[in-house]
Parts: sequence; structure tokens; C-alpha cells
Amino acid sequence: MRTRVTTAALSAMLVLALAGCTTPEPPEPTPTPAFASEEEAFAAAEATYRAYVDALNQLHAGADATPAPTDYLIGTALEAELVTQRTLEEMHRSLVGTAVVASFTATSLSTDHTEIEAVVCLDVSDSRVIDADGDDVTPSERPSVLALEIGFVQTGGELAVASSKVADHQTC
Amino acid sequence: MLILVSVLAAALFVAPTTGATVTGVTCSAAQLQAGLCSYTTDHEAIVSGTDLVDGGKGAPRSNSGTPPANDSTVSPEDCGPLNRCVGYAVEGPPELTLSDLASFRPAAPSLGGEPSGFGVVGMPTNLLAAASEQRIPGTVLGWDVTVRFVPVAYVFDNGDGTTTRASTGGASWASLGQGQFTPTSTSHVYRARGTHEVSVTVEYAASVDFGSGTWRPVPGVVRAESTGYGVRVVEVRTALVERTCVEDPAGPGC
Repeated sequence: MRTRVTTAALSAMLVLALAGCTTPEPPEPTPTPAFASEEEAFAAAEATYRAYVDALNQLHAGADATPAPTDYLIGTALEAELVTQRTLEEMHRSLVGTAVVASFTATSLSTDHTEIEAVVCLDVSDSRVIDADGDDVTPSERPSVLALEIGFVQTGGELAVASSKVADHQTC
Repeated sequence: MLILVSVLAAALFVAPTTGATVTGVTCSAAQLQAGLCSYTTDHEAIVSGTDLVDGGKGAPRSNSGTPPANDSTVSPEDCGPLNRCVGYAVEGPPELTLSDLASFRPAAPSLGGEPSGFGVVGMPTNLLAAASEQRIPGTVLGWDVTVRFVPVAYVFDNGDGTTTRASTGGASWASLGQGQFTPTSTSHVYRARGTHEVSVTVEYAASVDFGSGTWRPVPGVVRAESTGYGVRVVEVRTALVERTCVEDPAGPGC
């Protein structure tokens, strides 16, 4: 993870350094096709999040999810996902059933169109936590629908989910 | 990063009864599905699941602090980008008793025997029980905990008025390297014919983790009983055997 960030930072510096050069070197292969419009950026963010949830559902259905859910994640979102997987493994728990994106509302877009924020209502009422024996051990206090504040960043020409937080003041 | 980790860990230990809000806590889709997200409702903060951050061990805690009053109304505090609130209340985990863990039930053990479903009068019938360590997440007195049950004793009700107490659930004759109908630590010799309803009660030692990674033992044991296992005890008068008892001393009836 850290190496990816470092690489991104280094390549950004390299691009800046190259911009000052008079002799045009071959440009670094870091395509950053900014979205043509706000709508396009928001649509891409929604598609990314839905693809991520689909991959997650596939994984929980026992199917070989390709691409893996983690492929859509970066930063704290990726860390949280890996920690969750490890925690569940240690507790001999697994997830079954599906999560459903009940709504997706884009809330902000940075001026360079590389960072997008959205509020997602995620419905997990069809999803259960089961133990090693297959018994349903879903925590009773788990909300069935919760508003999440999702942050996207553009990385390597694609959007990735960078953060996923509880959106406290949002209702679904 | 370390600072962030300990701050988050500290935030998770804020007692829910204070009414403090935990805002902006990371919650991925899978975390939400697993019930590992902390979120707020109109009237309470629900901090569910286990401490997701490994660094929780380093979070300072105190047992001597006085818990804040239940009905204090604290409005949501802006804790800055690091979510580092000054003056949050940190409460030490309480001492628990088994009655506090009433809602946590270890799974029933499984029970079987050798030979499967029957026994012979006057010869050891090997009884086998299996129970494993269990970890159950949940909430106790407003604390988000994981309760661990470790099997410490197996009490077999042999169904003929006797009981056998063993520290293990027993093992099969084959795995013990013993012959059939030989005594084991969990075997029982029935004196009369008939069908005996055997059951096993497993005694579990309970301990609780408040998210710090430390298991605090709870005095006493929690019992879980298996469903019945019927043993039809028969008398054997003759047996057709492959070899004599001299040739195969471990054979049936020898």
C-alpha cells in the first residue's frame, strides 16, 4: 500500500519535473483522463461502487470473484477490508447473502475531477454472519441499512474507493 | 499512523452510556455486514463488534475512573480531522459475573460412541464427546466484547444412573491404539441390557475480551448439554471371530 502511494507521489513529482524540461521526454505512462463532466465522474463513481459490492457479493456467495473486491479499494478502505477479512477468519465467521446499494448520491467533486465523494445507502438485511457450524450469529444490533460516506480517488485512470465511513447525519 | 491507531482505539472505548457520538468511523461494506461498524442513532451511540485495530493494546485505560452519569446529554463534538477529542471519558472494563453473560451460550457438544449406537453388557462402551473453544461477539453492560468459552470438563451421564467425569471428550479406540472394548478415560461398562439414553454436559470456562486482546476470566463454569445418544446394550453370548484370542488379543471378546 505504502509503495503504491510512494510510487504515485514519485511519479507526480516526475511529471512536475518533466513539465519544466524543454526537451520533450516520452511522458510517464500515468494516464489521467479527467472526466468530461460532473455527471460522467459521478456515474463512474457509482459504477465503481456497484462493481465493488457485486464483487463482494460474489465472494460471499463462495464464487471466485474476479476482479476481487479488494481490487476496487485503496487506502483506508483497503486496510479496513483486509482487517475485516482477518477478523472474521480469526473468529471463524463468514458472511453470506448479499449487500444491496439502495441509493447512491454523489455529493462532491474536486476541481480536477480526481476526488469524488458520495453517500451510499447500503442495505445488508439479506446478509448474515455465520459461524463455522453454519449457525446464524448475526449481531442483533447490526443495522440493516446504513448511510456510508464513500470517498473515491482516481488512480491509474480508474476510480478506486479510498474511504468508507459512517455518514452520521444521513438517513436512509 | 500510530497516533491515529491509538486515537481510534481510545474512541472505541468511550463508554456508550455517555451519549458521546463516534463520528466518521471507518465502515466498509463488509464491516457493516459483519456488524463491525460503530454508528450513532438519535439517542445512543452503538459501538458494535470487536476492536478492529491491532494497536488497541497500547491504549491507556483506567479502572479507577468514575463512570459518568447516565443521563448527561452531550452534544456531538467536533473532534477535528484526527477525531481526537479532548476530555473524552474513558471507563475501565467492569468485573463480570456469569449472570452478565446469560445471553451468551456456548454451542451444544456433539456426542457419539463406539461401537456406534450399541454396547455389550460387561464390556467397556467407549463414549466420545466433542466440544471446541468458542468465541462469541456481543454486548455486555453496554460494552462491546468477545466472550470465549473453553471446554474444561466433560460429564457423561451414562444413562444408567452413573456419571463419568473426564477432562477430555475422549478418543476412539483406533486413535488411542487400543483394541475394541478396552477401557478408556470416557468408557463405561453397562451392567444390564436395555437402551440407555446417554448425554454429556460440557463445562466451559468463560473469559471476556473487551477489545484489548486480553482475556479476563469470569469465575465459574458455563454448562452446555448435548442431545441424547441412545446406546442399545446387548448381551453377547457367541461371536464369530477371525482369529483366536491368542492370535489376536485385541480382537472382539478377548
